[in-house]
Parts: sequence; structure tokens; C-alpha cells
Amino acid sequence: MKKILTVIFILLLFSQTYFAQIEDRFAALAEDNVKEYVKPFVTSLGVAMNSGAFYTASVPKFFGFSFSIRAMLILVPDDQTTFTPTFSVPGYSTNKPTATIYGDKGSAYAGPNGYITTPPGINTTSLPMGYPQISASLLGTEVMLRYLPKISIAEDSELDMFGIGVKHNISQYIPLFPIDLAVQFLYNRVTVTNLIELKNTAFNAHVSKTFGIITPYFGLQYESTSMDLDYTINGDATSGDPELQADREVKASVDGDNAFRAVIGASLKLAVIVLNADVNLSSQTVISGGLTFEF
Amino acid sequence: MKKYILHNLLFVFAAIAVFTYLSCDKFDTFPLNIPMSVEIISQGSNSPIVESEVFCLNNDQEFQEYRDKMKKVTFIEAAWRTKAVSANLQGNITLSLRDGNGNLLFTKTLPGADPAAYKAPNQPYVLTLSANEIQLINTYLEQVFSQGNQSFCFQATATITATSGSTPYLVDGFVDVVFEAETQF
Repeated sequence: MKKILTVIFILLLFSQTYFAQIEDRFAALAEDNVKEYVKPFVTSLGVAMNSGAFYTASVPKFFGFSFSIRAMLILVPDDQTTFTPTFSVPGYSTNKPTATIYGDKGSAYAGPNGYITTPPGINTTSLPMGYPQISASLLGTEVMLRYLPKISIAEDSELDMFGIGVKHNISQYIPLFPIDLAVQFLYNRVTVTNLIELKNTAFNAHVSKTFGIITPYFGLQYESTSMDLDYTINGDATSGDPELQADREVKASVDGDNAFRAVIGASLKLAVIVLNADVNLSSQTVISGGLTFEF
Repeated sequence: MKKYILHNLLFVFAAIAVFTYLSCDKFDTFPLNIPMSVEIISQGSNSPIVESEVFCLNNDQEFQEYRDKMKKVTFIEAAWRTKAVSANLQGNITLSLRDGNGNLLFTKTLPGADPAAYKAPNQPYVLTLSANEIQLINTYLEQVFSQGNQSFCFQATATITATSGSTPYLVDGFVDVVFEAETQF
């Protein structure tokens, strides 16, 4: 089981091919531009890691346990596929946009020191993701865990993921309250040694109402995501940008465009199996679904 | 019951894996921009001054690094920038590019008669090529590529026609070219 989960997560984000190519793309950009280039990806990781955290506001009053598989499709808006670069050298006109990590082709900018080129993106406007999570609840409070042990994904690089969420049912304190109301805090961290460290936090309030086997739910969430990036510029002596002419280590911190989101969805409970689907409206729309075994 | 749960889990994993696998195509290709510069120093007392330089894409470090994975190379853009010019020199710069077999790919005369206009911190002059001229360059690149030839060479020629200024005339400048290499992983 561990192997399967590992393979899925790695294929999803950081297989060796992905890893090498992402590194190659970063390697052609100086600090300011790499931040804009990678920002939509940071946003995607943020919206993904902060999705699928609830499918009901109800929390068992005594004890509960569940195991879930979360899958989602992140839709990247067109305006996040390009950006306008900036260069430290004067005399370069950036009158045309270039690709972000989701865009298509890179660009070439003529200037007094020769051309400065920017890397291509992966030419996509949607990104699938998935991960497992387990939850345990006691007396109206639920703790959720997401975890992958350290996995070697390339030479000198290991991937690991950890996430925790704490949810508390509020409506239990309000007699005869007609719906379930809960609040939840989430923290997730994804690390690829020698490349990235992603941290995101979220706080949400959500409500649900059960009608037989169907439970519609709605939530509002505040969230933030940041990624520390550590990569090496692959120096090119012919580049017009002096910052790109020699090999050097770069450290950059990138904040995702994550702030608020609204979640609307419904779950269907069939004995111990719960199926749910929801739409997350934020800077990148997420269509999320889950299969949960609830005991 | 356990078997049922396991089957469901495997189905979901398989679905995600297939979904993921399909998305992997996005990472299969990498259109790499390769910039190159060739310096042409034209000097002499008699106008016009004609000077040529040969440059080869295969001498570029980045090109060499990805050569085995490249499926196609195409021309993107070219520009002229002046590095140095003798005092008060006025005159026209005509640039031409020939392929490795000596076939003419294009000839362009820069507008104005002031080579210093393209000197830093001014912008270089980006050459506007017709679709036919771009096609000629790309056809040459395709031919070289299909023959497995390792030598992607061009000859750039600058012709300086001086109209005023004191001798000896000097125009030192660069032809900057960007190619795109479709790289397959």
C-alpha cells in the first residue's frame, strides 16, 4: 500500500522526469522572474493541499475513524499562464509576455547585451492531484493526518509530506441548532530536499445538513501558501542578463495567490462508504472528489 | 468485506494513476530557446567594407547538452547591435545570412544611416524576416537535422557602406540569433 501511494504521489508531482525538467526550467531564471514563473504552481499546491478537508460538518460525539482517498482537478485560469518578466539590465523591452510554469513557449528579449531568453511552461490549464488521509474523532473533535515518509526521488533529493487538521463541531453547544457547524484548522508541508519546501495553512468554517443518505455542505476558508525554492542557475555565458551568465545557487521565497475560497458540495453515505464531490471557488477553481471509509 | 474495500481502493488508485499518466505528456517536450551571438568587426578605409563570420549552433554549450534529445530546431528571431563605431561614421549596414552550403537565406539593410543608433544603451535592431525567409532557414536546419549532420553552421556578413566620417572606418557589432530546439524527454 505504501508503495502504491508513493508511486501515485511521485508520478503526480515529482517523478524524476518532472523533477529534472522543473529544475531545468528554474535554472534559466533569476530570482525575480522565477517567483512569477512558479507562483501559479505554488497556488495550485496550496489549493490542492487545502482541499478535501471536509465533506460534512458533523463530527461523531464519541469515537470515529475514517480513511480517505482525495482526488481533484485544478483548473488554472488563462491569466496565470503568462507573466511579464523584469530584467536587472537596462535597455530590455519586456513588451511581450512569457510563459509561467503552466504556459506554452518561452520568449526571447533583444537588448544591448544580446538576447535574454525565458523557459517554456508545460502548456496545461488543468492539473490533477490526489493524496490519502486518515481522520480520527473523539467527543466532537476530529484530527486529520496526511503523511508520506521520506522517499528518494533523485540524487540527493527526497520527498516527504505531512499534513494535519483539527476540526471541532460548534453546533453541539447550541441546542436545537438546525444544521451542523464546524471550524477547522489545517497545516500542510511538502518538502523536496535541495529544491522546495512548501507550507500552507488554512482556517475554515463549514456547515452541513443531512437528508437521509445525502449531506449537502458549504464552507468558507481563509488560507495561505508559501514555498521556499532552492535551485542552481545553469550559467550561460551568451545570456544578455549578467545574473544568468554563471552558475550560482539561488534561494527564493514565493507566496501563492491563496486567500479565500468558498466550497460547495454534497456527500452520499452508503453504509461505511462515503462518496463526496465539491467545487472550490478560489484563484484557481478546484473540482474535488473523495472516497471515504468511515467507521 | 475486506476484499470489497481493497477492490474499491485499487480502482481509485488506478483511476488516479491513469489520470496522472495522461497528464505526463505535458512534461515530455521542452521547447528550449538557444541564443547565440556572433561578433563581426568591419574596418578599412575603402567603402564598402565587407566582413563575414561563421558561427555554428553545435558549438553552443546548451545545444551540445541537449543535442541527443532534440527532435527539431527552428529559427525564432535575429537582431543587430553595434558594439563600437568610429567617430562620426554615417552609413548603411547590410546584413546577410548564408547557410553552411553558401546559399543565401536573407539580406537586410538596417534603417537609418547611423550605426551608433544601435549601440548600448539603445535597443538593438530586430530584423523583420518574411515568412519565406524564415522558411528557408528552417528548411536548412531540418535538412541538417535529418541527415544527422552535427554541423549547424551559418555565415553572417556585414556590409558597411560609409557615406561620411573619417577613415579608417570601423563598425564592430553583433548578430544575435535565437533558435528554438524541440527537446524530447
